[in-house]
Amino acid sequence: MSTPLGLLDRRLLIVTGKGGVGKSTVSAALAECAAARGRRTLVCELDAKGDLARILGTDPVDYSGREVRPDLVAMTMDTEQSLAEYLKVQVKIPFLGRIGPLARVLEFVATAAPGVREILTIGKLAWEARESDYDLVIADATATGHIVGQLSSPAAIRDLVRLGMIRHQLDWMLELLEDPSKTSAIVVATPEEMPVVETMELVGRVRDDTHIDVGAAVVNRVLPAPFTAAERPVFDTLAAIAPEEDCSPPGFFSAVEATTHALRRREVGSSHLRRLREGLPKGLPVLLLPEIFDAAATHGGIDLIAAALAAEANW
Amino acid sequence: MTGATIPGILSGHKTVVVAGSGGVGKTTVAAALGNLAARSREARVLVLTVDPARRLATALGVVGVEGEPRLVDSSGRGELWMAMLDARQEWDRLIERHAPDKPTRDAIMRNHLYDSITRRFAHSHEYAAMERLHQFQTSGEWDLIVLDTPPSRNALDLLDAPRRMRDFFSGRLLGWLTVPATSRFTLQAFRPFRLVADRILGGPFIADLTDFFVLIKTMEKGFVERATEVENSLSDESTVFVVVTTPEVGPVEEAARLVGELDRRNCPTGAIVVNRSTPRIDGGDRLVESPTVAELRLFERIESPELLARVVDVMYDTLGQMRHAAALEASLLEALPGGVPTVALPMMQSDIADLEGVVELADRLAASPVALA
Ligand SMILES: Nc1ncnc2c1ncn2[C@@H]1O[C@H](COP(=O)(O)OP(=O)(O)OP(=O)(O)O)[C@@H](O)[C@H]1O
Ligand SMILES: Nc1ncnc2c1ncn2[C@@H]1O[C@H](COP(=O)(O)OP(=O)(O)O)[C@@H](O)[C@H]1O
Ligand SMILES: [Mg+2]
Ligand SMILES: [Mg+2]
Repeated sequence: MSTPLGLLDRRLLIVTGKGGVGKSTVSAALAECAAARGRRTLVCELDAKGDLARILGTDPVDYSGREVRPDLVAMTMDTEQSLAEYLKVQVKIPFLGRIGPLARVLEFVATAAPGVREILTIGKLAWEARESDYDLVIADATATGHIVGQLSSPAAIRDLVRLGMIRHQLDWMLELLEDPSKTSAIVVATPEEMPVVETMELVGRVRDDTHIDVGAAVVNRVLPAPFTAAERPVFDTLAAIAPEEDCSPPGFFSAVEATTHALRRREVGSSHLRRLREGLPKGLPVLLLPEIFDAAATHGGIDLIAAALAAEANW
Repeated sequence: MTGATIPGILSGHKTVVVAGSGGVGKTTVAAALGNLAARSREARVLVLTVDPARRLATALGVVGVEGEPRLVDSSGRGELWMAMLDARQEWDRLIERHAPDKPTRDAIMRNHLYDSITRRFAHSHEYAAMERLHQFQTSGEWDLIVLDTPPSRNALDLLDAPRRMRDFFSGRLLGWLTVPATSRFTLQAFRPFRLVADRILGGPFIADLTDFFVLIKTMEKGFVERATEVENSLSDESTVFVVVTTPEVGPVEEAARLVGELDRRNCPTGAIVVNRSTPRIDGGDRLVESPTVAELRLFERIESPELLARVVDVMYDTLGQMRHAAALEASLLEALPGGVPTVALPMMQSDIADLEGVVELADRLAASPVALA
């Protein structure tokens, strides 16, 4: 348990999980941890919602990216710009201006040809991880429903496209993606029913449908245990006091009610967490991050989460 | 709209669309709304659901009968039916309906691009949900249909799905792509695009794609007409939207945007349900300091005063946290648009995993006071 998790030594980390569980939060925390340890890090939000910049406490970032802390650059994915960049840099198309409004072409081609958007996304990430001077690229990826398609798009397209220059590019992309010492997926869940079920399914599908390593599961928003083993029976005794024999200080029964509710929610969460542990492959590290009360309201929430992550992973 | 109640909204409409961002409890609330309607009046109520939580779906017996309505409760005055949506199956039905002849239909379904395109076709789930809703609406078999919407990044995708379908067919690129490359009609302007595509993706792949879209194009008329019908049914006055959110920044913003957008499209929002709210603790609204050990002397049955003091501190902290959370939630909800009836549903102590849980939530829905946001 004492060896630090090697995740920060990878080139590319892809953070995924059900909607709303904390993918952007965990991506930001990972990025903070890596940058604080001297890794030059690029963190990229794939779905352009702007959550990542908000969580990092900075103004919105775009496709060109911006250094938000020393060694930490944040950017937002944009498949249209990725296509333009690809055509210009890789294909060296002389008549780029003449293929018409790129957005419309892309919209159509992406609808028609499966995987085009996906490959433009994964391709950009892989290119940054391989060609730029970043030590680590972190992708705040899309939710579970979409991610397997995204991760498997290079392999899928290689099967579909028999010719064309993209084949060579796919070869090096796959080499990077399928090397577990370079690329890992990180799956985020919360201790709730749907996120747990989806996470177990997702880990299975990543293993079955792609050759991409799953590096860790992160369980976010775990409620801390309110009582120690010695304190719990004391609470149970207090909770058993009936209002009729009321000789208690003001607010006492309200406090009992609130605590009972919190304990019950925590028990439900613990049972989901147990189920998740049982359902995940043996040996897959499971990192727990606490619920931060008031995280959205008070800035600095991300520092607390980054610190908790570093402690869990032994960095 | 003052005096609007959830039961009132349910009895005044034939279709209720439950929308909101992912994970907020749309499926659960849809089931509760259906239950409420089916028990209070003699009606056949259908909840059309997508991806329900596994345990709930199993408990209600709708697993394994995807696509077909299933009676889940007839203990009330009416009947509650539920059907689970399968997007791929809906696409097969659509092709079945619109293909001009059997050879075209078979050719489409056999095409190896069909599978990935229908699964990934931008917003194919949303369109499939709309399409199935329309079928049930026109069947005349249901007094009330509650549509639970698919999880999507943007809840508006649902409303846009029919228009996107039309745009897809009317786009010039589809026209270009389906004209043979050698044809003299191939537009000059399309040539550079074709050259680039050939160079990057290779000629054979483009040829496969062209074949497929030539087939798809034969269904244009049917698809476009249908999309328009489906779209119109959404702004029909017998349809109402219920927007679900949790008291969190992201979902509340999404709910506000959704209500505004619905309004612009002349689709009324009947109610906003704020699900998973921090429960209100009675008598917990006064600010109370944790009692001192002296005040606690009455609890003589606890032997260790230090232990007692710690436990009581935790209890009062927990109460304080809950009250703080409730206040924070209340201020968040100010971002919701005014004038829409709003109902809070508490975070229950455990998940809603069976009919009993759904009934309990329905009770709360019926009993909760409706406030104007
Ligand atoms: N450990 C935590 N404690 C308290 N709140 C948290 C925690 N982690 C995340 N949150 C809150 O949960 C909400 C969702 O988090 P986040 O945006 O990271 O999720 P996401 O998975 O990226 O969502 P989406 O799928 O919409 O992109 C945010 O409001 C965030 O502040
Ligand atoms: N008021 C509530 N109290 C406690 N748990 C709830 C409540 N509403 C929903 N849940 C739980 O939250 C999870 C997600 O709900 P679901 O209805 O499937 O969300 P959606 O359809 O919006 O994705 C389910 O496990 C459900 O049991
Ligand atoms: Mg996010
Ligand atoms: Mg759902």
